[in-house]
Amino acid sequence: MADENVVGVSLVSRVWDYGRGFLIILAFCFLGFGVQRVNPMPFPPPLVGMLLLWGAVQARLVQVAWIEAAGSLLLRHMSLFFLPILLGAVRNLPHSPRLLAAIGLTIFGGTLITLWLTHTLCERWVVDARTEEGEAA
Amino acid sequence: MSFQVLALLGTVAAYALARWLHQKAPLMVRRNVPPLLVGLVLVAALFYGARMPWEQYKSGSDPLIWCLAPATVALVLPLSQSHRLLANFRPIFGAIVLGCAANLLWTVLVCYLLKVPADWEASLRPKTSTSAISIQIAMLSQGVPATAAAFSVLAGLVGSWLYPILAARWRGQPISLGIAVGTVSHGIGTSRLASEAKTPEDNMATGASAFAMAVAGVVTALLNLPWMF
Repeated sequence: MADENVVGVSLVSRVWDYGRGFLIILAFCFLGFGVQRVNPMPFPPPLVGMLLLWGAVQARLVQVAWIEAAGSLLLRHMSLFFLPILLGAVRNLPHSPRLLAAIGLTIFGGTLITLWLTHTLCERWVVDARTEEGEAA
Repeated sequence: MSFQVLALLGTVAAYALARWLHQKAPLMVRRNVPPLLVGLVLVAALFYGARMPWEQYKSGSDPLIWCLAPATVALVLPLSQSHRLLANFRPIFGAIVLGCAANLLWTVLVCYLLKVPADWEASLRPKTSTSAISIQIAMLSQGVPATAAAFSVLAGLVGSWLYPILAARWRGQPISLGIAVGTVSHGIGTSRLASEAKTPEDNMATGASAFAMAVAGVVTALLNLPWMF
């Protein structure tokens, strides 16, 4: 009987953790859409919502623990939400070989250049925490 | 079963199967083939195999696309754990600006050499921003918004495919990897980093990637200003 109570309390606590997290995340998501509607800018509403939630976390209005369960679940399966968009992207590809070559070159070449350059510059310019720790020691 | 239900259930099943196959595959395959690519092949097989009309597939999978919005808001989790990002804002911002500028110059050069039509070039230029931003940039610079979104997504997929191969050789700071992935691969690369994160260093890379995704969107819009007016 006691074991059943413990299981029940644990289940309620998990539902509460997920429910509260989803509600907070959705609230900031809609807040992002609201801000975008009032003040249109070339910036997607969910990113605005993310920055607002980040501000609320920094201001300690929202605790990270409140959104941890729901947020981690969404992040773990975020790739799933890209699948229909990717299928649409593949459908939109042109049939002209010259255009396909240009698309392939710009996407592959551009991605390689940007990955390498951004990584190399960050390695040179950003202070490495491990180096700082080593110097402090 | 209607096409809409088949689209929704089939996409979720393809994703689950792709994840399962990815977990069971040898390390070399896991590193070189992103699960999203396997999922895409499975979904494409379902879509073309069932001869599904695109409108029906789209309306069936709309709930999944809608979930991207709260998932993007949830990127605040890794972001709030990366306190070093703000302390290093200037060098990180500089790296993102130069990375986006190099990508833009490469695109313009290739399009000039291959005589790509202006509307296609305008759709290719904003691909270092997430698709929601590239749509807006394409609209203002005589591009095709849907095509620009497609290129952003494809660039994201290619970036999420290439970064583990390169990261195995680089062995640098997690912040550098995250910034590079977020700049070039936006949400798709960030979601791969998040789903494979196991250590605090992995979380730091995911946070840096989310941060870079937001900054690269703004930087790409600014770099495209000369074509907008």
